[in-house]
Amino acid sequence: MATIDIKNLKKVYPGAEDATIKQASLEIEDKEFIVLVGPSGCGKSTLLRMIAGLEDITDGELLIDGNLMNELSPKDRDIAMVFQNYALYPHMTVFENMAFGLKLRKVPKQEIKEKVENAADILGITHLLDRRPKDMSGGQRQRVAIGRSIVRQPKVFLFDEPLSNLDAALRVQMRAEIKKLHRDLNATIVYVTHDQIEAMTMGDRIVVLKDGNVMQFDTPMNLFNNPANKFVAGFIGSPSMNFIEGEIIMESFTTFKSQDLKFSAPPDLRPCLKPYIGRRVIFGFRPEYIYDKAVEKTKRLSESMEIEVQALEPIGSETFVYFHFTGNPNHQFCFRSDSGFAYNIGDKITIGVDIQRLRFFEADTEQRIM
Amino acid sequence: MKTFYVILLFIVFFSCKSEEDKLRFSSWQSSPTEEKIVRNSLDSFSKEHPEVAYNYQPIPGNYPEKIQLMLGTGKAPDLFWLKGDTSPAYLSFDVLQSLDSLVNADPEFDPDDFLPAFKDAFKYKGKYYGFGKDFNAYVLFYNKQMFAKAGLTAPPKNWKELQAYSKLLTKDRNQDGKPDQYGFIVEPSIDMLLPFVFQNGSDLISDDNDILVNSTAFVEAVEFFLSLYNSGVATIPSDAGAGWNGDVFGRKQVAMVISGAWMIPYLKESYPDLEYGVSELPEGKHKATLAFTNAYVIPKQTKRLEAAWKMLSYMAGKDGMRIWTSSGIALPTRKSVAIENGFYNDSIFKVFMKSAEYAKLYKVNMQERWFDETNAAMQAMFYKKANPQDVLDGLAKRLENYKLK
Amino acid sequence: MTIKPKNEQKIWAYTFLAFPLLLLSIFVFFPIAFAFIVSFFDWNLLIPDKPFVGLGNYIELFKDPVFVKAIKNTVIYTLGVVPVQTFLSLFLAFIMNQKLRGRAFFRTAFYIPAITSSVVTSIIFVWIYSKPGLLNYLLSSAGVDSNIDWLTNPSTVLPAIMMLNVWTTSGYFMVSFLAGLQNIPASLYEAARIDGASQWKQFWKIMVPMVRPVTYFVVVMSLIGCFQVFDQIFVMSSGGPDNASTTMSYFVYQNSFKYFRFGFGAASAVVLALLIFTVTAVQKKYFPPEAY
Repeated sequence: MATIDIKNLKKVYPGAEDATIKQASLEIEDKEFIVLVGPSGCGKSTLLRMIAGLEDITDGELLIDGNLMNELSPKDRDIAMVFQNYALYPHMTVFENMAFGLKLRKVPKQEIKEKVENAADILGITHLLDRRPKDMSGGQRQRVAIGRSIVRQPKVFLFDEPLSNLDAALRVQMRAEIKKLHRDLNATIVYVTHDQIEAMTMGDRIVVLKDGNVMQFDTPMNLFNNPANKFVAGFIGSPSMNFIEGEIIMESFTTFKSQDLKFSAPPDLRPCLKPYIGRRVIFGFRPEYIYDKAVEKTKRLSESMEIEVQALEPIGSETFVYFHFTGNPNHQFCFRSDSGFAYNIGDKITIGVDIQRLRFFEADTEQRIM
Repeated sequence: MKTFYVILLFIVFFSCKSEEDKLRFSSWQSSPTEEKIVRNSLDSFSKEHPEVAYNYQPIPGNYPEKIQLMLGTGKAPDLFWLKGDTSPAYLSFDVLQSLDSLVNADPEFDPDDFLPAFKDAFKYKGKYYGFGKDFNAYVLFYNKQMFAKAGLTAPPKNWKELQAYSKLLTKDRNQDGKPDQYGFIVEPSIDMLLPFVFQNGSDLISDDNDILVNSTAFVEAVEFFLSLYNSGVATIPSDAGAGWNGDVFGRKQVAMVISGAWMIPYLKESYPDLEYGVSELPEGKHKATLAFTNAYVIPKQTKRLEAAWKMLSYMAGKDGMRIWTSSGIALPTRKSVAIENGFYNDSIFKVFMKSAEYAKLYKVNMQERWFDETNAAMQAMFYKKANPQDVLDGLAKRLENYKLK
Repeated sequence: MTIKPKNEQKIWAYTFLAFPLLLLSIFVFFPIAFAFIVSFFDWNLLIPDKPFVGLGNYIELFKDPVFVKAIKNTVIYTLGVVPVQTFLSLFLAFIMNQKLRGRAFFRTAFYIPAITSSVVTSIIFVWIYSKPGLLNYLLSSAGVDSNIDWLTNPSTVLPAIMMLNVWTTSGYFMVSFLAGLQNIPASLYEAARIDGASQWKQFWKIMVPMVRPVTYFVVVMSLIGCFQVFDQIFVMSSGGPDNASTTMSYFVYQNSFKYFRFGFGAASAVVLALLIFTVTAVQKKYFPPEAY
């Protein structure tokens, strides 16, 4: 069993004013694939390194399989780590790289040979066993780094942005391979990335971090559909969610009013918004859920909004349409449209948002209202 | 601006040129005192011979190597000091100017005024190439207070007494197993050994060019010399943490030391309250001691022979020597000067003058390497406790290679 | 005809190279060649007659017991100093690379002997090594009875000077190693830690192999320096006692500048140069500098 319990973990570097990790509490199940994601400096790598034992824990508890790990050195935690720059020993062959940890633990030679060849087989690098790292491509090196972790058969695998140094196509391929590996190995994996698409495609659950705090810890779909706060809402999804700040007022019905836009809330949402009358809120709407009223007839949409097309980004299957509300060209938004419809810059369109996808956040706390 | 530089160039050029006409004189420099006295002598030379413009260029270190290089490259000074012990090599290379004709033409020089030992010190194949400008000799210095405390009234007169007195004067006052006062001090160097060798009737090399270092007489002298150290009645400077024996004597850690007149100004300056006496060396089978002398010499390649001779004849002449030796830094090789300056009357200096009568010169007619080979042998006997006969047999064999052709 | 840019570049390149090349030729290449030629003559600076003796000087060299001793001393010196110096400076660099308090002070303290004049340090150590000197004092206070003059005892004079040399130049090589160490990515050590390597294992399995190009440089420079050791010998022991500390370069000096025998001295210098050259060539062949 390899559960990871993180209780109120805190990390302050000596001499630093602010804590790098302020307060992290997570419960990771056995065999889960957990992704730590967030912008630069959010503390995801630090958190991973604290699990590994490469960083000291200032406060809080870390338990793996119910055992307290705070004081244990990395080699006693039964973990393995794959580094962003692979960290392969350049002066050793692939075989020796993979065998290094086992040799240190005085595993018998025959057993080492079996384990290394087995891992090499899984990763398809058997033909590379006699090569040196400098004679291999980035993808091959990454596989060796993974292989080095596999041979030790640890309880927990830790990945620190392993695909960041690879090109886009290779990244996509490796993502799938790592997912498959997770199924084959049946192990707990904690994976750090800054790429939210990578996070969404790979994780069973995702930890979104910002400035050393856990913003939300949930499944990908929940993060997408029910973000806990504005940060998560804006971080997950590409292109990111559109935000307009405004206030709730009473005008026949509960109405959202902002500089460019005014519409009354759909009936289902009115009860939730009523307590916020007179307060500032942020209205969030995803590019995926904006529809051209001239085209979309079936979905239930919000009240009409008049927009003007500012820029177009055709990506093949869709076009990203960048627009502004008529009268306010400074504030740009985005919606995704089937490429079938040809827009031109300057076109005036009437749009509506799928009423099930309207999201509101408190302006001051940024927590989601609904 | 241009004219300024042209004028500057002219000045530099001409001053260089005028430098070229000056006589160049070089000496070594063992102390600032010595340099001052040299300059004093040069000043009075200038008064006598104002027409001779000169440039005095003392060489503070590596003197023999530098002179050799200058001679070899044709840049030698017109007049320089030459040490007696290195002179055989220079004389055999025939790089010095013979002075006979110049001496004969100068009525005031009076070469017979020189004490016999030093007159012929720089004579080679019948010709004179220099004259000893001063001399020093090894005599015995002893600490009067220590002698009085031990009940001794006079310094030792022979080898037996030297040994006995040394024993008597070696004291371990604080009973820590290490004497804090030694009777005598020796050095593992050939010049310290030679007086004993001479006194036993031997030498490094005979007049017939036979190596004598492993002869019975020589070995006997070595064994006596060594026994003083090995029996614990004599120390060596490095054991006492000193650079030379004078230091140990001054610090009152030894009762007797063999040294030259350079000890006198040293003690006066550094240990003025030390009461010491000076006597001739204790005798062996013969009376003998080691004397050192240096000369003014002129290289063959000089272009200013006349001016050089003027300076040489003054500095090594009666007037120059008088000034030079009145400071006490060294002793006069001219009898007239010695008498005039009262060297025969001074209680200390008369010991040196007496010693000069039977002293043998420190001058070895072999190639330069003899010195290092011999010193290596001394070190082997002192530091490696090697058997003297074996070491000296080996040394004799090697010295065969270094005879002068 | 206009000069094409490529040729013009070449002309400028040669022009700029010409002056340093001229200097090098006059002060380095020519003296080396001249020394080589002189070694075949009986060349005394002050005697006009300089007969050609062919290999005579070389034959005399190997019959000269002092020269044979000098070779032996030089080899012992080198074999003793190079490994100790290399390992010590690597070890110091390893320590200096950790985050220790007062790191900057220690770095400076270790480096200062390297930039102090070798003559000055030699003179200071003459006193330290003397019978009533600091070393004996320290040993006595530690309970070891030691009452010898380290420089006049034939069996201790060479080790004493070797220790001085190690102390002097380790700091210099420490800096070289430090630079090499800082090129090793921290993630390598971290991977090793996770693999289960102790500090000691990290030192041997990661650091030492990765720092190999610097080790090569240090060993070569150290070898060359040791073969040429002169200053300390000249100041501290003058080759004694009984030639126990006469090294080959001291022998060259003695024979050329004290005994006036330039041909003989040049021959010994040529032998020394060949020795250095051979050793460095062997090292390059069997212990190449590439780390991986």
